[in-house]
Amino acid sequence: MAGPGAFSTVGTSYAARQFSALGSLALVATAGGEAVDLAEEVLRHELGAIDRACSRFRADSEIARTGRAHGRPVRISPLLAEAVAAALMVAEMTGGAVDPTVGAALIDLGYDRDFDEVRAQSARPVAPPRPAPGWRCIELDPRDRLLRAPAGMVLDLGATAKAFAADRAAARIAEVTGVAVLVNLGGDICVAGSPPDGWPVGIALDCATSPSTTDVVVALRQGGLASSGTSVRTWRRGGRRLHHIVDPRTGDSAVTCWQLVSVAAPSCLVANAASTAAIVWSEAAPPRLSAMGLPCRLVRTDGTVLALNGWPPDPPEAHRGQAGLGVRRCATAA
Amino acid sequence: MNYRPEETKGSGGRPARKTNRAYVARRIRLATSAMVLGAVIATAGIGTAVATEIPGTTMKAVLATATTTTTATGSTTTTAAAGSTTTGPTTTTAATTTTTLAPTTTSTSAVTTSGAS
Repeated sequence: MAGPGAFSTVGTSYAARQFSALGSLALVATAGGEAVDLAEEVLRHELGAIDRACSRFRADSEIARTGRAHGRPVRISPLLAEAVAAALMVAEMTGGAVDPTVGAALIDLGYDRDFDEVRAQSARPVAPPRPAPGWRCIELDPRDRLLRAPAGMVLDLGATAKAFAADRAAARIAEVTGVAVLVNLGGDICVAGSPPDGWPVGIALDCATSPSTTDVVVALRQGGLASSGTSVRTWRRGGRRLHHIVDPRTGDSAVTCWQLVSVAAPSCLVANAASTAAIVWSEAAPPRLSAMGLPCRLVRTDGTVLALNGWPPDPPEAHRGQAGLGVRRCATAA
Repeated sequence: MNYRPEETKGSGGRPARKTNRAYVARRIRLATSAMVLGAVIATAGIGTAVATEIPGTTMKAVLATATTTTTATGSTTTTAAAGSTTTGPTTTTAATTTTTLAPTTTSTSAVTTSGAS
């Protein structure tokens, strides 16, 4: 884990902690540098609970146990019930473009273990893709917390769990510490409270990018901001380059004209739903995102940028901020 | 499960119980919206008066959309309009949050980065 980082921007000071979690980097920052130790403790607790409930890669996770129920209803924890409900809400909101029933498709594509191990696998051929069963076949009774999924179906909350966790953690940390906080889980960001000028957030193709390659910085004052892209979590199978965003209609890696889509919304969950769906929607994304009314920035594979719904225009290249300094300083302070 | 069994005629005139899947699916959709969007909107700090009771149940349903306008200063206002879709009467409430996203000054260094992971 990285040690404490302290830095400031435009007269506002922050402190941040960064560590690995949920297969990605987790960062928590507090305005004024207050209570960052407590913020990290709360974040670790929250992420541990999410991992135990929702990880597809842990045999002892709650969701893995429900997958062994062979179609029988299973009583689940309040946390998993909330996470599944979040995934179903996202599926409905996106018209099924982001669907938690793509687990079997991801396994067929070779994403059947932690991503570092996926990348190291051999060039085993890919099984013919098959459409996802569809989220409507999942039955959830939130009052009695009973979940039933068809036998053989693999639930995958990977598309929503980080954003869901970011929302929960930011709210919880703000409640416990009483200070403004930012939580970033692999590029899925939620803030609770804000410095006067907002939280400066860099936008980059890779959320773990070095500062020099980040291109724009925006100020986030409320809610969440998420980015989805196809250039980072990639692997090769049978001579094909695959990525982790699956089109539920085909069961294959989504074919898209976007390399990165960033969205701001009242919550990180909604922002992430829109950004992920945009990858799947491809050319149909701009009108659909416009209709949703969420500020968003789409980068085509040729690098051209489209900003919608009030997303600030990109500044000239020479005037762009040095995003990611906070992350870098945290890392070097370890 | 929270099923509402239906009595239907089975073979030989005996009543047969079957699961009302449409009922279950509707309950799931409504409850899902209530659970998640209620939490989402509360998290976003844009108000909590968004849930609507569904007659005859303890469920609450919220379906939300958001619209954004840009001010002269470049800041944005996001309005979430919440309404319900139920089998009974519907009501609509609205909550507003301001200034979700804005351009930074050109000298700003970012706290962190959003990108693909």
